[in-house]
Amino acid sequence: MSKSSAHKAKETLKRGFDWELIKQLYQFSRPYSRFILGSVSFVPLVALFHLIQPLFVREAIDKYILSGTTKGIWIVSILFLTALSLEFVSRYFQIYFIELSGQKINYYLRKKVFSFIQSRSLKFFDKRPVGRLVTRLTTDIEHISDLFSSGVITLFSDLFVLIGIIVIMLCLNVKLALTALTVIPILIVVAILFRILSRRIYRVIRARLSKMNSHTQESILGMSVIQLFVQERKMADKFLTIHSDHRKAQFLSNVYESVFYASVELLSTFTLALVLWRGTGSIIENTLTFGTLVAFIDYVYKFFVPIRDLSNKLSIIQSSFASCERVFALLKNEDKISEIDTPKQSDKSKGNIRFEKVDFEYFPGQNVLKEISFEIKAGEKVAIVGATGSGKTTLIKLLNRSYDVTQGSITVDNIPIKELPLADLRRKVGVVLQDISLFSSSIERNIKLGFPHISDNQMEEAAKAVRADYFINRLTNKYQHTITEGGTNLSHGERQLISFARVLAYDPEILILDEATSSVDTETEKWIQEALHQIMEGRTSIIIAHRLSTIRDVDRILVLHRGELVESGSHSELMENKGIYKKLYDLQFKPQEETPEIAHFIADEDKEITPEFIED
Amino acid sequence: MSFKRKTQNQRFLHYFYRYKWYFIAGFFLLLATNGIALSIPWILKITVNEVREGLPQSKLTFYIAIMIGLALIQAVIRMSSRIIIYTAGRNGEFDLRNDFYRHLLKLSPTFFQRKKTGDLMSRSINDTSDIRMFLGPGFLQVTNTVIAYTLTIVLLCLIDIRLTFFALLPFPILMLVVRNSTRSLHKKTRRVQEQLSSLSSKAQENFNNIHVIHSYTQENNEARDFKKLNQEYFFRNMEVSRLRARIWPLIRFISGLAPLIILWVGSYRVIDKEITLGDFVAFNSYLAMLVNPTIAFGWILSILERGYSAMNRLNEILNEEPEDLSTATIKPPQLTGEIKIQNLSFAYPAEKGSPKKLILKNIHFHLKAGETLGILGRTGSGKSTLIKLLTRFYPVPDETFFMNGIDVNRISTETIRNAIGVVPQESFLFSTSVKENILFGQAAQYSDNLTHSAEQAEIDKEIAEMPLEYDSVIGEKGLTLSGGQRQRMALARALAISPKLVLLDDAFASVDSHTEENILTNLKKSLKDVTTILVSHRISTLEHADWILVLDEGEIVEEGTPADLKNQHGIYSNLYQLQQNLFNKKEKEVSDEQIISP
Repeated sequence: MSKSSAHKAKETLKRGFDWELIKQLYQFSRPYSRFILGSVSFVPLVALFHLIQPLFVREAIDKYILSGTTKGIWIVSILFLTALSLEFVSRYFQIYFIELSGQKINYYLRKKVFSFIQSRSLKFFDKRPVGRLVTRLTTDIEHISDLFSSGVITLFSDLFVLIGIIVIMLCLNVKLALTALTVIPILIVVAILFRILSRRIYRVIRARLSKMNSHTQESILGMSVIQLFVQERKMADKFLTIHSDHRKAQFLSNVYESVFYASVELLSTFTLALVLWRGTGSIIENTLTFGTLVAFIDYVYKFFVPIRDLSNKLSIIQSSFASCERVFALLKNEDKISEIDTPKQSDKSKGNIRFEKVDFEYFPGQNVLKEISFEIKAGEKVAIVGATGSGKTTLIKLLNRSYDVTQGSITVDNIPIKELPLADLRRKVGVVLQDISLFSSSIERNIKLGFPHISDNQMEEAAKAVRADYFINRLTNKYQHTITEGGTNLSHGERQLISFARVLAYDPEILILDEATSSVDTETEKWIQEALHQIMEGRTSIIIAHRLSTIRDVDRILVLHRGELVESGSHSELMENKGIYKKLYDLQFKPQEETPEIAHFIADEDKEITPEFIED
Repeated sequence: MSFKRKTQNQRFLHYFYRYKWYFIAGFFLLLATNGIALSIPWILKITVNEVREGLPQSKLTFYIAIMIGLALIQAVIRMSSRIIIYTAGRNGEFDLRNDFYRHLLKLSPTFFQRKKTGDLMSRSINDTSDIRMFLGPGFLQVTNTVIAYTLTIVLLCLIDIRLTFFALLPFPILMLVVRNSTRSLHKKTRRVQEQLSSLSSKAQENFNNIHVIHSYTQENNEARDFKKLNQEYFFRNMEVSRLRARIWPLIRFISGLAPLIILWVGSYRVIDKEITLGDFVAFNSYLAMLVNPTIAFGWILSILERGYSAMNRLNEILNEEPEDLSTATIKPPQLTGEIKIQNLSFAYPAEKGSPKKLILKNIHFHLKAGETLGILGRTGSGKSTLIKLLTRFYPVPDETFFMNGIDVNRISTETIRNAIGVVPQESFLFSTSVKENILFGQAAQYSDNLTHSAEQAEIDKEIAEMPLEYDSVIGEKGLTLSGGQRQRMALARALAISPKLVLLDDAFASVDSHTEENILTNLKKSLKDVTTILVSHRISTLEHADWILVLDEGEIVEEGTPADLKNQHGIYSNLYQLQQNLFNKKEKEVSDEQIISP
């Protein structure tokens, strides 16, 4: 897969300009086209006022200095000053307008991309590391505005100046102009050569840099492991190797740059020498004035100014295009949970749930769930039991349409969930997952989330009901206590209680809960069990149970095995049945008894879905 | 090697000094380049002057030849000067980054708890590259500007002092403008960066918690929050844009004033016969040469400033003293896993003013080689601290911790850690192959240890099913492992070093009880001589121990064999009741009552 994407990237490079991309870019920039046009309209003015200046010097030399009259010098000087001032003003507007449009496009794109990513289904997130998504949203979009501000417009403006210089030179003296222009082909060859070489080496540098980065990051994250296993030396040696590779590539790029820089300077002096040689000859032959020669010298200097960082600008444009491509590719993604055009409105529902022959696969051909059918009545409490990988977690994620079923249907109060407005469905279904998601914000914000209708009173009651108030009240700032990134300043149990309080405050009609497997200390365990009671009270509840006490509390148990619903009933019924449930029960809750053949059965089951990360 | 703090300047000097010949050679080469650069307008001047007096063709060709010859020599020198100075900068960066990385390897876990990974990363990558800019381009530009200015002003004064005075007038103004606007640009850019970082954190948090966002229909709220940050980001960016739109044209304007002044004042000087036409032409060329270094002046300033603050940030870390726990007064003993703790009390180094809080009080236990100790205690009871002391992450007082009868403060940390296999709570794996992960603790990669350890950790069957088996790569670009698999991988890694002491710090939280049971039985069979310490909440796990300690508030509140403790009325027996008898309804009610009573 990575091979094919690398191949694709190469192809795009070969193709050069991608018209599809330009078209999309045009669409995004269209609302701001008046700013872009504004900027573009100042380009010729900048060139005009800039390039007219040497002509005043020419005038002064030929008309006044050589003839020894001082009368008109001040007029020429004032004209020069005027041109200079106008150049200043036009440059200001040219830059301002293009920056403005670049920033506006960025603003709009960021907003769009954020909402776009946010509205993807979980399938989308399974396949992509979060860091990469954040890069799309920040760095890549940033590069798109560079395309305008330091890329296309500057290039356009440089081109205008270069052509202007050539035209003026030709007007002043064709012979001398042609002499000066002989270097242009050499210049082009040198520039192209440098482009090719540096592009190649930059790609190598980037690859090696990212290798170095990931090594450093892993070392920091796994520092305690490195130290525990006394592998400091090995890691330092590995770093040295990676780092040396990086330095080698950098050295090469340094050499290229230095050679290029020196060559451009050489060519500039060379042109000057040519102009001087031909020019003085012409002066002696009386076909050229002194003023024109001086102006020519000035134009040669001016000609080489934009050439020096031409390569820089080209690489900015190139990396901007690469960023554009990545962002636009992202925006083409279709992993969205779709709503039908005229969703059915449902009244205050009761919480009847029915699964009808539900199939689900993450990847085509890999059935995770097969023909699951069952019904849960309003107010019923149901536990789902099964070995790791039996599809329990997937099953509950289907109910709030985190994923959509591949086959079959799910109904809530007899309405297929696909026909309900997504927001309504999710309003009915409250979910607490194993990995608890806390936001780096206050506890209040974490319980209430963004709901303005939840009052402080309701929040405190929810916290009290799940006994989270006990530890919250011990904190100095109580509900205003700030939770750190990932909730690291709270214990596991405390994090769990906050997520319980959150779902209780949300007050859904249907509760879905994936019980945490991680063991916590006995006291916290008691609290969590208590809290569970509280939040299941009066709601249709589906719980992936890992604890005996939870299993005891429910009305019915569904047993999943390899993606199929194999048994269902109360605990005692299932125990009498002597089926898979009994085996599972024996395995999980009666550790003293050794059952080797069943051990095999579990090991077979303990497979994980391993979504491969895809490049985009 | 003893640890020495250094100031920023000392560090800079250190790297400058290491490459001093590069810098000295670079300096002379720059001098030569500038000398040649300045001779070219001089030839221009001579040529122009002589043309008016009727220059013979042969002499003209001679001047042109000199000019081209000089240009060629200059190109070579210019190229070498850049290569040499930039290489020195890169080498300095290289050394510094290596030093930084090696220093990190020596720092204690407290340090890494205090610092965010992203922050350390940015110091290691971005700050060192700022130092490169300081040492390379920074040095080059500063030297170049000083040389160019000095030589040019001397030459100009030789031609005409009065015109020099007038023509140079715009330059101080230019410098002032450049300096001020660079400062202000710098400040505004920092505000943009800050906002960008809040914006990215917001996005990252959102994407990480996307299932909560979806389940609780928070999309609109989040979009609103993001919009606020986005708007502020736009405004801050526009501040920079407005400034940028002003600075560059202004610089062009002021530097354009110099030719204007030469035109105005110079014309009169030529007409008055104070200077020649050639002088007039040369003046223009010389001033044109000064424009670039002057504009670069702002850039140089920001390079220097950034280099300085980068060194400041790096220095903060480089001056963190590594905790070297052992003075290793004896030669490495053969450790057998025998371990004795007596009267061990411990408190973390407290912040100034706040009282020291004892985390462990009077801990004592003695394990003979091959024995198993179980530790039970709730969060905050001091278990994790005890594990950290055993693995030598924090210093212990003398005469409290012995291995094979030797005070650990006299044994090198390396020797101790080589004897201990640790499976931590959070099992970190590297994004390398399964094989490299399991054999992580070994100098050479022996593969017979590999499969054996995997079998003992009950992960071998799953590895066999992976696409490349032991060569499968774990992590973002490879396989995603489940929590249980990660923990068993970590166990295999710990077993692969053939440890004398195994520490299992709640290591099976994500492994189902049955697998855990199998693992523990395996270990008991094959690791008869290995001492084991188990930290767990599961009675089924703890029952494997020969001796159990129950910790509470840093103290041992109960201890004994599992059978003893079961019969005592205490924390252990309570837990036992809870975990064993929940199926019995009557007893459950009893335990419910216990739960409610505080």
